[in-house]
Amino acid sequence: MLTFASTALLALASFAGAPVPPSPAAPAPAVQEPNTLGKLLTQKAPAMVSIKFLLKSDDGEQEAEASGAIIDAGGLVITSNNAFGGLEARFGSGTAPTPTDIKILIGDDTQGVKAKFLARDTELGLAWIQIDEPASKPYAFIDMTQSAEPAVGDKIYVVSLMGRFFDRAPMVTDGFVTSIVTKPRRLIMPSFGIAAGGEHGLPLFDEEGKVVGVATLILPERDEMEGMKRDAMKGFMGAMVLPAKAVVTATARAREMAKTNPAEEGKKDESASDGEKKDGADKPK
Amino acid sequence: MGVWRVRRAFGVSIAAGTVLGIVASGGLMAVPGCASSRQPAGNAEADAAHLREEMRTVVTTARDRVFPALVNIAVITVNYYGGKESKGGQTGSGTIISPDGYILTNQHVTDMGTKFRITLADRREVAATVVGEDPLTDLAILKIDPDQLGGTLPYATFGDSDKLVVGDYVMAMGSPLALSRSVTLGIVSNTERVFTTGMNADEIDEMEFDAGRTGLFTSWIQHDALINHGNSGGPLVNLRGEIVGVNALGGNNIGFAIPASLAKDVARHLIDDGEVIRSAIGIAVKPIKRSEFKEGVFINSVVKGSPADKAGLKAGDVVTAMDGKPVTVKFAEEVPAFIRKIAALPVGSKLELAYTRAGQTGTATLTTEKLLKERGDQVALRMWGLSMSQITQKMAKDLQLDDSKGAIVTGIRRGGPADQAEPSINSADVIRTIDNKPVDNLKAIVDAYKAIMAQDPIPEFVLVGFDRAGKNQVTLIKPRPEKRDDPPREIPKHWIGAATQPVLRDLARELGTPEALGFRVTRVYPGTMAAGSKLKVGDIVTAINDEPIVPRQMQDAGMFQRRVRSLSGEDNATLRVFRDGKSMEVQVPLERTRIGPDEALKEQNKDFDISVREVTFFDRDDERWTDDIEGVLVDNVERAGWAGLAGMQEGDLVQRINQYEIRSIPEFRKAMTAIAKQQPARVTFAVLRRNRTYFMFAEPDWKPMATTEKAQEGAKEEAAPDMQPQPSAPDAGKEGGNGKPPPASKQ
Repeated sequence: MLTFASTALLALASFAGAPVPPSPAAPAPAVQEPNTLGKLLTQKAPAMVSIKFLLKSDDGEQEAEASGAIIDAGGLVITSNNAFGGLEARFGSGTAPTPTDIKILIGDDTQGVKAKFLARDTELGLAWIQIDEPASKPYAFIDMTQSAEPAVGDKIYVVSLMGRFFDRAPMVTDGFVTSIVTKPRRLIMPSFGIAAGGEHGLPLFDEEGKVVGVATLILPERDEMEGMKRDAMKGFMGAMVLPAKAVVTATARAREMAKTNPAEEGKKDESASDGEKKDGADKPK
Repeated sequence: MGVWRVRRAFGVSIAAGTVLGIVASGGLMAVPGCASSRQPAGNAEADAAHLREEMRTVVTTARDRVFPALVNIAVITVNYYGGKESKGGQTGSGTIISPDGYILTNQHVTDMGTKFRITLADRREVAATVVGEDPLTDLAILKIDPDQLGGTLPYATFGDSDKLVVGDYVMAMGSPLALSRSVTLGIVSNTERVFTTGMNADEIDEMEFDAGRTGLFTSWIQHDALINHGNSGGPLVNLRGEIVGVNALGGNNIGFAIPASLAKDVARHLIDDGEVIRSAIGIAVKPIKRSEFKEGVFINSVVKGSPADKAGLKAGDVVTAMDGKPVTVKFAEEVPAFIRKIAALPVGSKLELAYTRAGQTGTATLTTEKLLKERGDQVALRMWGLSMSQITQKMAKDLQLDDSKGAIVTGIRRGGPADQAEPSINSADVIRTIDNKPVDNLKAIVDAYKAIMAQDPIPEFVLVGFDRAGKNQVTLIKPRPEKRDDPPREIPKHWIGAATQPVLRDLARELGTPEALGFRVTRVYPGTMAAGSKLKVGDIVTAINDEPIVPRQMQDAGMFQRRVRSLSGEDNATLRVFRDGKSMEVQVPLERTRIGPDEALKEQNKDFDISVREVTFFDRDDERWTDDIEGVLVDNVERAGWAGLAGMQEGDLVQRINQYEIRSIPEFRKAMTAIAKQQPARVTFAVLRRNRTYFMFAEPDWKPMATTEKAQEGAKEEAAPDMQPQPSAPDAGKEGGNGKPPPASKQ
């Protein structure tokens, strides 16, 4: 793990390097290139996406956008479930809105490719979306298994896309680990710059480009609100980072769900109300 | 003042004086049979009793003349907001005014109505149709069929409202609730009340749309016979038992009625022609009260292209004579009478107006034209996410459009296809072309919509040309069925079918096991795998798979299940528990998290306007429904839909619909499709609400939504009697089974 001092030295020694071809899956180079931020940006940006969708509720529908990252060559996208009606599902009264008409916009694309909602994990605040159109070549992606565990004070970075007006130009933001908490589970707390600027659902990296985790929001559940005082969330600044290992585990579960034939699953569900009992026997394989 | 005199003359208590006062202060003169009650002093009590008796006779006699003809009107409405149609309901009162079943009521009672149900005084119910509506006077005529009611109908007659004077007794009658009829008594407070705009303004605004213009022709009768919601359209009755007004506004002990002289006239036109044809010359009038003029009618503005404009009249002119007769509007109260005079002329009449302009006099001869319809018919194109209105000539003028071709957008569904089009379509845009073909009116647009949406598959884009503030634009709408996708699925995780509470330090000590800090089992859910294990209520769990689980405060209440969910791989969990003061290990099989209400399968039914979902484990636990209780749970009910009207509520468990047992969403879907094909007059829903059963009797109207059809005909009146059968909504035919309703029948 690099220290503050060495980062500063590297930054001093930086020069405008030749553009690095987008190959996010490439292993981190053994020798540090100068200009860590610029390199991260070039390396990671091709895997960053904007997600356009409609949130349908009983009241009507609403156009919405979220950020995400492609995490395998087949076009699996990780994003924040909270943007997809997850917050309403947890805390709202009535029915949570259903996301539909999902489109993944890669780079400065304006049309997008069709995608389907694969799975959500309301507790972790994550959602997985699968690009649903055949692609001519594998997608650039972030390899979540190339991960690192940062310590308090370590530099962390997020690569995101700017808004529509700026044609979704990629940008990089830096920050550092302010704390590591274990409640409600092991979480990395980022400094304000990243918490505020980095949108939920995006991966964070260390200097070497290794994934430290995914920015998300994990809030108390209803039954945990009891006895909650005003200052219960003191020190919380709007985003937390779920460590890469937990993301990998959750993603494996999402993939497993995807493997079960959706049509079959649908049929099973359709006959499910006469089999609420059966339901108990449905265990994850 | 009258009360004072009465009290003195009869020497009765104040309480009695209130009643007597009313009689003595004027009613005696008007009421036959009451005029001889002045008795020598000393007989006050007998007088009072006599008077009371006579007044009672007068009131009840008058009441009995109108009461049998008094009806309650229940209306199902369809509104077009935000690009979708939504059903609603309203009720009002009305009076049968002829033996063949014409009913007089307010236009705001029938407004947007598609179905009318009349409850007669004898509690018989019958359907009614609209004969005509006149928004300008807020009056409408409905019709019921006497043959359905045994041939003869009670009816009430009109009195002469012009003879009403301030102080006359009047009775307000109505049926604020379906079966109750009420009478209230009061006096006329004012016979020529008008409503002006603003605080001390003296203008009667005739330039506004819709409601703003209601009452333009009306010198209202203000009275203090109590009227309430639901009295609208009910009669104001004199002590002879004649209709002298139609109650339309009220509250705060004040009521306003449309005078019978106007109502009678409007009713006749509506019955004969289906509309009231009026003349207009295109001027707005301002009373001269504050001007330098002593007489004449001040022209506040002139509508461009109107008869007044063509004849050379200008704003600021003062009309001094109409066809040789002097005219003056000094006060706002005089405006309605002046406008009525012009309106009453046959359309195309020659009218000679003498006027002064800057001291010069002049004469203008003009030909009146038809007063134009205020509001066009409306329709919602659901799969395009917009609602539209026919453009009336009046609207074209007011909105400064070149012509009245096309249709104007009245609402956009947020996030809907029209909203998402690039550029997006907005309210007040005028749609001119669809797929490059001109669409001249609402009917053409609805036809184009139906033709496009009938294609299979639905085309990806529809090219729409529209005008916005004089600019002609084109955009692409992507039609989309209104279907809602199944909710996203939650990643399955481990779960133990038990509820727990944290055991904190103090509680542990008092429970006798200070070392047992953990989670106390409060419930083992029946039917779960945990129920088959040795876990018991009262057990205090202190570790899962040898990892301690210790709550520090109440907000750790969710920690037990959080920990279980984060387990990976295993089939069983080993719980370390304290039971009866002893520590032991309990093996509990792990099962998957249960589907919550948000993940449950849903189904929407448009025929009855309900959506239902499958029952989840948590619903059962909340309601204490055991596994053998089956059905589908009502998620959403539209209040004025057929199920809503039958009394269906959210949270009801639908278990049977007519002969069909409902145990699942597919069974519900199947039953509703079958019922839509059968189109029975009555559909019985058997539901479970908490632990009680309820039966709901829905009486669906399988006929098409009238308003959609009316819109296509271009005129409400023409379309009402024999509509072409169509699916209730343009896009309902596809999945619902109601694509082929039977020919429209008489209601």
